[in-house]
Amino acid sequence: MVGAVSLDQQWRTTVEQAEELIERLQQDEMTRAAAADAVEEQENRLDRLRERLAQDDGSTTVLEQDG
Amino acid sequence: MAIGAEVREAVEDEHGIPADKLTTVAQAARQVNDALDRPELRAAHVIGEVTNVSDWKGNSFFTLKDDRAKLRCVLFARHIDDYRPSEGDQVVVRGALDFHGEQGELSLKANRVVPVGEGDYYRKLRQLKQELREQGWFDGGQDVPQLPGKIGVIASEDADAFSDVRDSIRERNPGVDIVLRPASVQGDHAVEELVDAIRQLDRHGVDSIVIARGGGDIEALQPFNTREVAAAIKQADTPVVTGIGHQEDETVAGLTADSRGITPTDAGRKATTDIEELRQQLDDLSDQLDQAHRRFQARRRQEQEIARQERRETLYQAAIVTMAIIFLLWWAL
Repeated sequence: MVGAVSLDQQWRTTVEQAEELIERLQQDEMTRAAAADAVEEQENRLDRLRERLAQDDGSTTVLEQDG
Repeated sequence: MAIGAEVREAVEDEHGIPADKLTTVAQAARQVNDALDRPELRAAHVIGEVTNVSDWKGNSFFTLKDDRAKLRCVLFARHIDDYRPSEGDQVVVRGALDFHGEQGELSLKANRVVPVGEGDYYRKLRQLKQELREQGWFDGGQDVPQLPGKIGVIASEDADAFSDVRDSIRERNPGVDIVLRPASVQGDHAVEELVDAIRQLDRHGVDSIVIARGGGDIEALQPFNTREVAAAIKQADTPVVTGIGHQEDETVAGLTADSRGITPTDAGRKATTDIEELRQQLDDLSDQLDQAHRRFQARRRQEQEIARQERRETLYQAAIVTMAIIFLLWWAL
């Protein structure tokens, strides 16, 4: 899909960012204030993904042949 | 069953067909068998390629074919010694041609089957697989998205294969949108339709494409063993998952795909991850993040406490030194 960020890309990016943040926290690379902000922002991203995963109303459509 | 006099008369009167020319189906079948009662047909030697093999109670049932005709064959267990007919073999079958009236089927009752080499179709298929393998077509390609928003499915519209894929996807992730692009999966137009369907879904904007077809003999799966369908899969920008036939069916399309399910249901599984696993993964990440943050804060508090302690000790030492100097000055004066 060109242009739009797919759900799978959103998933991969969020998981990757969370893992990076965990590593930075483990390596003490941040100030306390910056860490608190980053953790809060990351939790929000994880929550948004949870909301997407909660959707259970996938559709089924038929694509007609071109032309 | 004999034809009644009333029927004969009615057919003759109303349709002008002479009553003495009428025969029943059973009589016609008997006539076919009578016609087959010739030495060269009762002890025929037929050469062809074995396909559509099935075994039942030790007997072997198969189709003998060449590029223009097919013949059903049965080899009873008592005639099987060290060779059992196998898909793709070129064989000579010795036996009697027989028309089985109840099934309306001509078959060759074999009493001996001699393998004489590899069949033409299998040889070509083996050569195609070898060529494409050498060109790297089977080396895999793109990762299949684990959290797709929309999956395209190519299948025959009313076939079980489509419902198997759909149910399998829905069971694991009910939020996925499914787009069915119907296509013939066997017959003269199947190759062309499959290629069109793959290209259309690739342009349509789906996260992955599942190609599904239920079980069938090697001829039924023939479209999936063509270079054209494999090329369409290879050229697609969208990851392709196949679920064609059964576990033992290794088609060229399946080998070219980014992921190969052993059945349509399995292809549905490979096209998406169980939503519960993903939820659990998110919860685990949240826990790890929370834990890392708590430890980070604890370490920072500890560092601050140490720094405070060091400052206190420094001040204490400075105070002692100052007092010592004052005392010495006082004493000196």
